[in-house]
Amino acid sequence: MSAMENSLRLSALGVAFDLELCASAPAPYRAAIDHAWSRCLDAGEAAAGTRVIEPLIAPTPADDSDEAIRAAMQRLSQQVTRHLIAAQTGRLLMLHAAALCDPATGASLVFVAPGGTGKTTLARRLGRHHGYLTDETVGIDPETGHIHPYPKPLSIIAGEGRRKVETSPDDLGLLSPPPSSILARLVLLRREPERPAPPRLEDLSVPDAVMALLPETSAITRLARPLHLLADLLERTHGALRLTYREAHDLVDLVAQLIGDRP
Amino acid sequence: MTTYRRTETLDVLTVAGEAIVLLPTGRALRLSSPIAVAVHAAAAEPISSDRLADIIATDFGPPPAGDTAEALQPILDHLVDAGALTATEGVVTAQTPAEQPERNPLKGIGTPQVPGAVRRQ
Repeated sequence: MSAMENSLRLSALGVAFDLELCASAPAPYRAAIDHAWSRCLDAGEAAAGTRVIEPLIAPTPADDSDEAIRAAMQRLSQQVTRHLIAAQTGRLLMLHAAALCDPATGASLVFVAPGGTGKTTLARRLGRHHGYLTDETVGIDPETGHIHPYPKPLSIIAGEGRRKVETSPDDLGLLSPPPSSILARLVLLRREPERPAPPRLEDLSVPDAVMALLPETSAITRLARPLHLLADLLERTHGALRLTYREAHDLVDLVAQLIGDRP
Repeated sequence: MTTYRRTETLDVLTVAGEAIVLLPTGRALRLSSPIAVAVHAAAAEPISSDRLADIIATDFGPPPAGDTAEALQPILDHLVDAGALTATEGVVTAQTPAEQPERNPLKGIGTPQVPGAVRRQ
């Protein structure tokens, strides 16, 4: 008999898979996963034809303490991300980015930035006004510009220990996206915490944009003619922008304007 | 005599007089000088330094001082250092006109710009 008794179906980044938990996994861990991954739980509503990929075995907490579960949840997020990226390698253009959309039209802004430079904070702050698509990895169909959401839990620093806790987008009041979302604009983020001035937007030339985007892609070399693919996407979406800012809350009006500008 | 040939590429995007070269390793090189772009295009097949100098002189005109081969050498060295070209000592087989690579359409841009000819990612 298999040791895997608990499993749940997750759907994200355009694929679905079963997340399998070891039978010894504590019940609060399973409950924490159900809660934090609520936006990715697939109760059969995934789009018809969604590809089902191989299962993923969830890391098991060392014990049933809150800290052990918290640490396992962190590892789980990382493993799920890697699992999804591996599954979509050669199929999607994948960017290290947060993404938000107009909750009515699905017009989406993709905020590209390296890890640890403000994507989660931006998604947390602005996702109360716009549909939350992801704070980590954006998957874009290179032919159509269609975005495959990955509405994972957000790693939020919390508690006295100032540890990162995987937090459900529901708990943060983030809006859900409509059934379909499409890329409206690529925005390269540059956060300057010491910057006294208001946010600044600049148009990027195609070469500047391509060179800035390349380091923030995953497995782009597995796509056919990747540079032309990026250039075509930039052309279809009126080029990329560079957004220099200090704090995410400074961007509320600006982002609303950008999303509204591109229905 | 040195023979140059561009290294294997996954993709090359030429836009606004520049080229971005994506190597199989995932490393991207930005050729920001039109002459570097022309050299990279001409070196799709093995080509001698003399032949490259001829092509560049034809397309861009002579440098303000010295000869084209002399002015071109720092760019060739830079492209080799960046991993965009390989250099092999030896004589290349003469190419027939039909085998010659496509010329860069940019003409009369000026002298080779060594600094910034290649910007690495």
